[in-house]
Amino acid sequence: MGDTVSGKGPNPIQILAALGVAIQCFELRDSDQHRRELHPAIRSLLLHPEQPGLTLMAITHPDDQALLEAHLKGLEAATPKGKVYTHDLRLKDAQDQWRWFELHHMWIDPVPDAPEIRIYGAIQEITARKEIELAAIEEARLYRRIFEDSPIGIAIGKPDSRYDRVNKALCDIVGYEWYPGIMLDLVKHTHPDDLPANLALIERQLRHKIAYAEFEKRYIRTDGEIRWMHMYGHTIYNDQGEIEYGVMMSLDITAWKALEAERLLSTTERERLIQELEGRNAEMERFIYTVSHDLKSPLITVQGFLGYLETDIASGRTDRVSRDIEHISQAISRMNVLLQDLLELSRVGRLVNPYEWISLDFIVMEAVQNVIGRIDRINAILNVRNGMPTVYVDRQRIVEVFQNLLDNALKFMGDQTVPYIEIGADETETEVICFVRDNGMGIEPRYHEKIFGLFERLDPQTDGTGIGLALIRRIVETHNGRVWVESDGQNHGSTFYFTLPRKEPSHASNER
Amino acid sequence: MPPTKGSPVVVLLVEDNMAHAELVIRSLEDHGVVNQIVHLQDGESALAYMRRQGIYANPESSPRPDVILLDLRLPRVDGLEVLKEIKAEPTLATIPVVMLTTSHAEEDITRAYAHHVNSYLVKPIDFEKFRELMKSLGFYWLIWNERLDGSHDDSDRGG
Repeated sequence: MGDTVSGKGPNPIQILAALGVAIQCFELRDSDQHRRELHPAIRSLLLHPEQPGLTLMAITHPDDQALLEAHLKGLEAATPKGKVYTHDLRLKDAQDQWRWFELHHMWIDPVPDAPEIRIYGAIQEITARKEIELAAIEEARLYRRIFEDSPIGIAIGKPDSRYDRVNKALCDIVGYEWYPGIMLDLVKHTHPDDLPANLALIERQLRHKIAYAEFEKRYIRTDGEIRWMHMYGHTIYNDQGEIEYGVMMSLDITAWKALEAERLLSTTERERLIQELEGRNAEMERFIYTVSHDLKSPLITVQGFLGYLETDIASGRTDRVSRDIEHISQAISRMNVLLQDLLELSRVGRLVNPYEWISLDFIVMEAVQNVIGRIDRINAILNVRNGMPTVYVDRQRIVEVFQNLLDNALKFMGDQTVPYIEIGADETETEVICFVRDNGMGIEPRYHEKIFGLFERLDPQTDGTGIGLALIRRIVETHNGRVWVESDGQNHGSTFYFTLPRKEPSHASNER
Repeated sequence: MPPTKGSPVVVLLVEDNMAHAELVIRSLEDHGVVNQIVHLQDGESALAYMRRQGIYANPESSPRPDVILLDLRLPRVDGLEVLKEIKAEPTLATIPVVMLTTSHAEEDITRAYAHHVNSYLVKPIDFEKFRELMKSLGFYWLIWNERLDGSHDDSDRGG
């Protein structure tokens, strides 16, 4: 028992050839023998001295003992003829070193001159190869873990396929449950706006063999949410220099994009506010300047003619006295009107009456009532359109606008013998355009903008403070509208237009 | 005291405020430094006058002024614009222009000088100071200041 093959049975060299084993080849009498004692061939291979009770199991690495047990069980079972069992396991040598062996066993039909021999075996040391193999397996495991568990989305694709291998992070990004081997068509999840640029880039990468590219794009997740990506793409070539794989790493920058957008918005919003404030300041400065200038004028008049009044009385020039007094009283009343108008102007925007829905018919009617006396006095023909639209406005202010425009039309009739005033309103999709048209003296185009300035007057002969049109502009602008004039010039009449928005302005409340 | 030069002394006053115009005219007349004061109420007429356009075509009735007293805020064409136009025309640029205004604004003063105003005066509110200023103004520009005889310019322009 335990003898090497002698003259009986098949040629061991043939068996070795059949097993593909070149060295350290042994023949075993039966499987049970392994459990009872270490086969001399294995023992001598490992340089163990002969000792009773030393078994194969005893020198097998604890981690591999289960494997050996299964191996032996396989042998002990009635296995089919010719079946080869092969297992790798670690055995301890005489120096207590673990060495890797490949174990082969083959169950055979009994041969007449050695019917007890049923199993042939071979054992081959593979320590060096096994270590390389294990290192390769570890390497592969590491790269698979890096790919699968990376917090950055990774997709690996081949140039001829639209499906990419994807990792867990990318599955999270586009909204899929990950499983090993999952393939996704990422083009389908790319934002349509980003797709052309994305496809063009892939095309360029393929055609010009661009090794690396970085860009930003959006994925649309399965639940519809849009995710912003910073993409890093690179290509992997084979030995022939052909593109084998395309690798795309996607960093989710959605949160960062949102922050950036917010910051951008707050910056532009802040700049807008600063500009608005600067504009207001400049306007205020101009306002104070014009006001102080215009308030000073009557003071000079009053002081001047008080002085002359004194000298005229002293020198007995009584003919001049009444004229001096007239100048003084005119200057004072002018100052009074000026202050009243200024007060009125300052109220616009500061004192806001409740906004209400009201027909322009009523507003115009009210304005006309306030100037009806003057219309009659100059025998003007007034044509007011019926059925004008309803608007959401500060009623009292808009009455003021129409009244001021009527005032102006009446005041600047010139030498028109048939004074005619028309009032109406047209609707567009977004606004109501009101107009007051006259056939009076008209306004030359170069003054069309100037007249809306504070204290601007075209005609020194007409009374007025030059506040009226500035006031109208203030009121219309607080209603988010615009005001302008159209006139073909001197003696061609003029039409004043102003717009009112068709929906409720956002600040339509009782703010102060 | 009548002016001593050969030609009569003419002042062009451009002022939209009638009361102010009267104060200026009376003050100047009180001191007897002028022969004639032409008063216009807006910038447009002032330019038309200087250019002898329309109703101002006749040099007899619209003589060339020796000095122009110009208000800043004027209807239609404002004082600064009038100043700019006058100083841009070689035949008119030699006429002294005195800004006579209520504005102390730095911006107005700077712009007036930038457009070659000869003097910038702010109307005092106080009556005595007003009269004093008008007196000084009259003496300075019309008596002490050597005037350029404008008649040559007139003939050059051919009326």
